[in-house]
Amino acid sequence: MNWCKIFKVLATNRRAWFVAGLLIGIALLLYGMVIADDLAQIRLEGAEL
Amino acid sequence: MLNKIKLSIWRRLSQTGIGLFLTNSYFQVFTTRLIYDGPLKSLCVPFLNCHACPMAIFSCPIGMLQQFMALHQFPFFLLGFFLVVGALVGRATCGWLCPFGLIQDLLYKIRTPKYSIPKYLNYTKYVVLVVLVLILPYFTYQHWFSRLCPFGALLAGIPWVSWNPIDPDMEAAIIDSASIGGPFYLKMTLLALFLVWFVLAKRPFCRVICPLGAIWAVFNRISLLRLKVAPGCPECDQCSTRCPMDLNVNRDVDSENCIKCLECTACKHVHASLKF
Repeated sequence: MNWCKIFKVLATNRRAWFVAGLLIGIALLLYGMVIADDLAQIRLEGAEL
Repeated sequence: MLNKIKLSIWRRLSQTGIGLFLTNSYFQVFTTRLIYDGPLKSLCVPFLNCHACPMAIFSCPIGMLQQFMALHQFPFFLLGFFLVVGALVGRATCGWLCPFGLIQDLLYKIRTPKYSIPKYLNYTKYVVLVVLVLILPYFTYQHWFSRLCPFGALLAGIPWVSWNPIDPDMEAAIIDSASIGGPFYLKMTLLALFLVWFVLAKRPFCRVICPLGAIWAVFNRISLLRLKVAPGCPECDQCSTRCPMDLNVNRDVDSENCIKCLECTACKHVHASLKF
């Protein structure tokens, strides 16, 4: 299997970047909300003057 | 043509209604005299809006990014937020929601001699993002961009200093008059300079300074919402004349500075596309 060719196709494919960005984004969003408890940190800082 | 005019009105309504008023609609501050700290403050808006504004109900993503850098914590939620919004609409939030963009659009309408911003200055916003939002807060534990942000000065600095109510918990003025010194006047000077710049050039803050614009710009070419120039474009430059970011739309469609405001679609050869 030619990994170089696969990587080249993925790197230059707009759809591949879009799907990767969206999926990684959703995963990070959920991780930040559920496990890392980022929302509490944001709320704490957001209430500071 | 009628639809295109309607589109312009929708954009103004969205900028003022959602970007300015809905985001800053905490009217209870006039009775509580305290900043809103409810559950909505956990969420960020996809545009610049200072969360220290007396009436703000959401948080600013750039303020939060600096906070996570200062705390040396990885910003999982923020990074996810940037990826999802960026992948879906790119910089469209700058064109359709950002209230600071609205202020720039309106001030540019004042009749004065205008001038173009040199292209190389477009890269300054990436330097601002890396230095003032990521590196300096990480090493100095201070929010450097927020300290200098002209929109923060307009939305939070001026209202709090001019109102300065008595804090019900501390029974003292919220802003100690002795603390209003050099940094405050520096911020005011920067704001004044920017306001003059807004009259003379098209959206200079978005093109040169805005770190959030720099983040969205990365996604502009891969986002779901895109612009297309039909074959047979006569290069009449009608799209470029209407563009609030001073872009050559027909030559560089979906450029990193395109805010997808769709003003260029007034020309029949340019159209928006939501194609996957």
